[in-house]
Amino acid sequence: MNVTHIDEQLLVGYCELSVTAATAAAIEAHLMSCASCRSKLAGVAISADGGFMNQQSVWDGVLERVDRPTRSITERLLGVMRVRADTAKLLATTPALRLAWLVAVVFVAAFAVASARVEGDGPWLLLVIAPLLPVAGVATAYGPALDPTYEIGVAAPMSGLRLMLLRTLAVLATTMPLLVLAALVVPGGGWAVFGWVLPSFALVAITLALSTAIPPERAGAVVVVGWLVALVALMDRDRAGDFVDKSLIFSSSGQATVAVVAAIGVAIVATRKTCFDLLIVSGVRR
Amino acid sequence: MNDSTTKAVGVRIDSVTKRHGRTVAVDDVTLSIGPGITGLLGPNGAGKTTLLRVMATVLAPDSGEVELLGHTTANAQARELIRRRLGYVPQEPGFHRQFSAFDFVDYVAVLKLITDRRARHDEVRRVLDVVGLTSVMHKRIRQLSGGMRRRVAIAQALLGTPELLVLDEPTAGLDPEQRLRFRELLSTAANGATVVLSTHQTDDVAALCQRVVVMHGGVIRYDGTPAGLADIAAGRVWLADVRDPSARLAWMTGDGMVRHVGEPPSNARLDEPRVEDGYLLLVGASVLQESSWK
Repeated sequence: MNVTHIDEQLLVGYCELSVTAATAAAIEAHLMSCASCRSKLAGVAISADGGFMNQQSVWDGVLERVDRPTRSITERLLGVMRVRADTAKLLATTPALRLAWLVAVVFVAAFAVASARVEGDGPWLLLVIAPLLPVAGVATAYGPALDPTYEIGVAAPMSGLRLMLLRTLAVLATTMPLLVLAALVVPGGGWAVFGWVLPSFALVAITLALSTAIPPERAGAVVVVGWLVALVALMDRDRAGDFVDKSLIFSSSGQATVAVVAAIGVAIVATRKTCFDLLIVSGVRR
Repeated sequence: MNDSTTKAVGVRIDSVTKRHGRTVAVDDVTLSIGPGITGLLGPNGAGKTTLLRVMATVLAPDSGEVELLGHTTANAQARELIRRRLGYVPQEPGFHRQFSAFDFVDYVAVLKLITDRRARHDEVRRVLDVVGLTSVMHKRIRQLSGGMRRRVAIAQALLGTPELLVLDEPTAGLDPEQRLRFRELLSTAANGATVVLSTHQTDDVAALCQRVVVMHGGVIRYDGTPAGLADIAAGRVWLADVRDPSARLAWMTGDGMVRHVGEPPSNARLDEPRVEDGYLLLVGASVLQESSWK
C-alpha cells in the first residue's frame, strides 16, 4: 500500500497558518489517522511571533510564564520607574530602599523641622543632620557586615564599583527628595536652608573614598565624626548671628571648599576603583 | 607561555604569600591544579580558606603570582575574564532574608552578567534542577534545611557552567546522606572543569578527589593521590587487644580491637592504612585533637 504523508514544507505552512482553510482541513483529517505525521508535527511548533521553535524552547516559554518568580514590591516599583529588571534586582537588596529606611529618614527630617518650628532657632539642626542621612545609607549599602552575599558578589564579574555606585544612587534618589521637602518647610528662609546639599555629596564621596580601604560602615562612622568635629572647629565665634551665621562651612567660601572636598573624594574613588573588586577581611581591604 | 599549555591548567600559583596582620596564612606556596577534583585538606587555621580566596580572585596575594584559566589575577580586566568562568562557594555563604532560592540564584546570575532575563531564568532553573531543588525553588531560603541551603549555595556556583569551581568546605554541616548526594552531584556537575574544594573530611577526599593537597601552617605538606596519602601510614597502623602507650593515637574500634597509629612494635599486627592515618601522621596528633573535638 502506498500511503501519502504530509511533507515538512506543508506542515511548516500549517504551523505558520499560511495554508488555505481547505488545505488545513485536509492536513487535520490526515493527522487524525497518521501517527507518523503527528510526530513529525510535534517536532515543529509555533511561537507567538510566527517564528519556529523547537519543543524545548516552547516548554521553557511556558515555564517562564507559569513559573516566573514573584517580584518584590521594591522591584516592581523600580520597574514602574523604568529601571531595568536586572538593575532592579541588584537594588532591591539595598537597605535604603526599604520602607524602614524611608520611615527613619522622614522621622529624622521631621524632628529637625519640628525643632526649628518649636524653638524658633532656625534650620541649624536640619543642616547638621541632613548630610549624615545619605552617608548612613551608603555606609550600609554594600559590605561584608551588611550584605550577606558580599563574598559571592566580589567573586562575580560585575564590578564592585558599579554595584556600590548603583546603590549609592539609590540612596541619594530616596533620601535627597525627602530632605529637600524638609528644607522647603523648615522656617529660616532663603538659600541657607539648602546649605546641607553640597556637604551631603561631599560626605558621600568621602565615605566612598574611604571604603576603598576600610569597610563602608566604618568609613561612614569616620565621616560622621569628622563632620561633627568640622562643624564645631570651623566656626567664627566673633561673627554676629546664630550657629549658621557663625559656621564657616555654610558661608559661600565654605561651600566652595566643600565642593572641592567632594571632587577630591570622587577623584580618589576613580583612581582606586578596582579596590572594590577585592574582599575586606578583618577590617582591611585586601 | 602559549595558549595550549595555559588552557590545561586551571590554577597556577607561584611562590604566593599572604599575611593577615602578623600571621602568615599562606607561606610561599607553589601549586598547579588541572581539570578534575582536587581536595585541600588541613586543620583549622592551616591557610585553606585564604588560599581558596586567592584562587577565587577575591584576595590578592602579598607576593607571588597567580594565574587562573590562563589569566593573571594581578589586573582588573583579566580578573573579570576569570570571574566570568569561575564558580565560588565561600565558607559561610549568607542569604538575604527575603530571598527565595530562585531569587538568590537569579541575583547572583545578574552579578554574573547574564543580562537577558529569559535566558537567565532558564539558567537559574537549570542549576536548581542540577542540585535537586526544583520543587522548593520558590520557598524562602530561611525556610529550607541546612543541607538545602548548602545546595542553593552550590547551585549559584554552577551558573554558566564554570571552568574553575572553588568550594570552601562544601560538605560542612551535611548529614551522611546529603554528603553522598553531594559527591554524586559534584562528580557530574564538575565534568571537565577544574574543581578545588577544602574539607575536614578525609573520607570525602578518598571518595571524591583524584588529588589531595594537605596544608598545615600555611605550607603544603603533601601533594599527590589519596592512595599515596594513605601509603604514608603503611606499616604504621596496627591492631592490638590492649592500648599501646607508645602510639601517637589509639582508639577502640567497633569490633573491640584497639587501632594504633605511630611506630609499631616489632611483632605488631599491621592493618590497612587509610587516608586519615596518613593525614594524621603528617599534621601530628596535637592538631588532630585540636581540630576534631570542636
